[in-house]
Amino acid sequence: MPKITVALYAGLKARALAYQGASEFEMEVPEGSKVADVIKLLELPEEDIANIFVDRTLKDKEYLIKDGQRLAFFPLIAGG
Amino acid sequence: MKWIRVNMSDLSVKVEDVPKKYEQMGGRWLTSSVVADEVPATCHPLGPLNKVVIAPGILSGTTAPSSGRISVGTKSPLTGGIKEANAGAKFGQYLKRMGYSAIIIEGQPKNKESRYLLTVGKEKVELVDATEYKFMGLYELSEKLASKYGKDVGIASVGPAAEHLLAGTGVAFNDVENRPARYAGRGGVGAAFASKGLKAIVVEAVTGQANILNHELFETGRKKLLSALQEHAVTKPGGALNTYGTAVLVNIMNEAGALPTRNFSSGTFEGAKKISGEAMAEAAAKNPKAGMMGHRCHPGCVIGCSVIYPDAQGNSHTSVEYETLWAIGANCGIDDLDAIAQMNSMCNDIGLDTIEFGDAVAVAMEGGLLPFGDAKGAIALLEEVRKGSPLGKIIGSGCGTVGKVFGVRRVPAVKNQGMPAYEPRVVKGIGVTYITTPMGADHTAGYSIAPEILGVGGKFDPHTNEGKVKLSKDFQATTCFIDSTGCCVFTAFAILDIPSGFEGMVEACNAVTGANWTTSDAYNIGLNILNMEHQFNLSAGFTSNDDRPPEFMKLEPVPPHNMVWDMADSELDSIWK
Repeated sequence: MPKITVALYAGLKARALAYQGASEFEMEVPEGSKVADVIKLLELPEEDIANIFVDRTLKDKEYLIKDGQRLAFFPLIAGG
Repeated sequence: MKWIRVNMSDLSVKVEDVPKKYEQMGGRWLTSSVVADEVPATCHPLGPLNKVVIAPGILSGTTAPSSGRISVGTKSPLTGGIKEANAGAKFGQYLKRMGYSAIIIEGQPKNKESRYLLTVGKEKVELVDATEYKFMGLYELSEKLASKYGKDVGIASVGPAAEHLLAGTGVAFNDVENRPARYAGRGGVGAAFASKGLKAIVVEAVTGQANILNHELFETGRKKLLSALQEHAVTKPGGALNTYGTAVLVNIMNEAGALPTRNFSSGTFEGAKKISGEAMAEAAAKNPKAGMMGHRCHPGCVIGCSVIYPDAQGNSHTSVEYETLWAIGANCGIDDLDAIAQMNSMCNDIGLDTIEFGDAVAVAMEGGLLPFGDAKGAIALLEEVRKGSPLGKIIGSGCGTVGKVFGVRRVPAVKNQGMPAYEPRVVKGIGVTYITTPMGADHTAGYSIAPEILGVGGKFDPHTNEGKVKLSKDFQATTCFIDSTGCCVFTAFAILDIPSGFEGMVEACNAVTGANWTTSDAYNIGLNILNMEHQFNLSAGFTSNDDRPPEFMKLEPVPPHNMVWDMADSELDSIWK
C-alpha cells in the first residue's frame, strides 16, 4: 500500500477525526487511492477544503496518489 | 475640503482649499497626483524639492468598514521613482473628520539639527519645536506625545533610522492603544519625511463621521461592502485572517514551494511551522494577557488581522505580520519566533521597514557578514542601525546597497526595492507585479497570489506565464482604486468573489464624492493612476530596463520546483501598451 505524508493546516487538524491533534503524520492508503479517498479516510470536512498540494503543487480531489507523496490540505485562507 | 500645506523652509503652515481637480481624490490617487504635479521627477528624494503627501482615503473617517487606511506619497529615496505606502490607523480618520483631505510637506529647514512637530487640531494647525525628541525611539516618543496631547491622538512619526536618512525606513502611525506599530513601511518614505526636519505629526482625536453628500446611497453601499466582508471565509469574523493573522500564509506558501528561504536560494523552509500564524495563535491562546489574535489596526475594521504575539517572557509584540515573519524568519534562516517578534518591535521603534531589513540582512548573510540563522547577530545589526554606525547605515539602506558593499550577486530587488514573501520564479503573476509596478518590488501593488495560490478571485496555474501580464495589470489597476478609497487591500479578497461588495465600495465612494462611478469606472480610475505613476518614473529617468527581474532569477533554478524566471522581456513591456 502506498505510504504518504499528510499535513493539515489552519484549523483542519481539529476537525479531522482520524489522527486527531496531529498536524502532520504518515499513513498508508489503498492502491489506486485518489485525494478524495484520503479526505474520506480522515473524515475531513470536505466542504471546508479549498486548496490541496501534492508534492508542493496544487492538485484537485481526483488526483491519483503515488507512494511517498506529501499531501497538504488547507481551508480557504488569504493574507499578505 | 481643505488641505494643509507645510513649508519647512520658512516654517509656514497654510490651510488651503483643495483645487477642483483633486476634490474627489483620496489616498494613493491624491498622493500620486500631487507628487506627479508638484515634485520635479528628477529631484533628489532627500532634497528641498521633494514633497511628502499624507492623505486619508475617500472613505476614511466614515463608517464604511475597514476604511481607515492612510497613504504616504513621495519620490522614493529607495527607488528614485514615485512611491505610495499605506497603513491602517486612526490618524487618517481624524484628519478626514476635521475636513482635511491631505497634508503636504515641502521645503527643508536650514538648520538640519532642529526637529519639528506638526500639531493638527480643530482650532489650530501649527509647527512647534521638537528637538527634544531627536533620535528618540518611537515607543518612548508615543508615550511622551500621548501624555502631552492626550491618549487618543493620532500620531505619525519617524524613528532614528529615518533621521539618519536611510532608504529602508517607513512612517509609523500609532494604533488604537498608542503603539507605533502601523507602518507605511516601504520605499524609504520615513527618510523623505525625516529629511523635512519633521519628527512627528499629532492629530487631535475627532469622533463622528466625515462629510457625506448622500447618506442613503452611503448606507446602501456600506451595507453591501460589510455584508461581503462578513460573508467571505477569509474576512469574516472567525475567518482565516481573524483567527490566524496574515501569517496564516507561511505554511501554504511553504507547501507551494514558493516561500523564499535563505536569500531566495530555496522555496521551502524547514522551520516554517514554527513561524506560522498557527504557532502564534497557539501562543496567544496560552497567554491571553500578553497575546491576542484578531486585533484591529484602526477603529471600524471588521476583519481584525493584526496579531499581538506574547513571547516566552510575557512581552507583547505588535503586530507580527506574515511579511515580517518571512523577511526576518525564513529569508534569514531564522526559526525563533520570539527573536523575530523582538526584531519586529525593534524595527517599529527604530523606524525600519521590516521587509527591507530582512532582505538586507539575508543579503549580508549571503555575503558572509553573519551566518544564516544567526538571530543574535541580526539583533546586533539592528542596534547598529539605531546608532547610525557605518555598518548600521549600510544595513538600513536596503538590500541593494548591502549587495553592492558585500559583493553579493543574488540581490532580490526590482528598482532597488527588496522583494516580499513570494518566490516570483514559481508564482509568475506576482513576479509580473514585482517587476512592473512603479513602486519597486511590492506584493500589495497587484496581489495575484489570490487566484494563483489561494483560490480566491478565480484560479490560475502559478507556474505558467500565460495570461499573467493581464492578470497582474487588472490587479494593479483595481488595487490603485482600492488604495485610493482608504479601504484595506484585504477587502479585495471578499469583493473579488462577491461582486456586490465592490459595487458597495464604489457606491459609498459616490456618496462621499458626489461622483457617479460604476465598477468599470473604478477600474479605469485605477488604470489612470497606474499610468500616471509610470509616467512619473519615465520622467525620472526610468526605462524598460528598470522593469526587469534580477539577473540571478533568470539563471538560477530555485528548488524544489527548479524553476527560473522565463517570461520574455517583450511580454513584460506589453503591460504598458
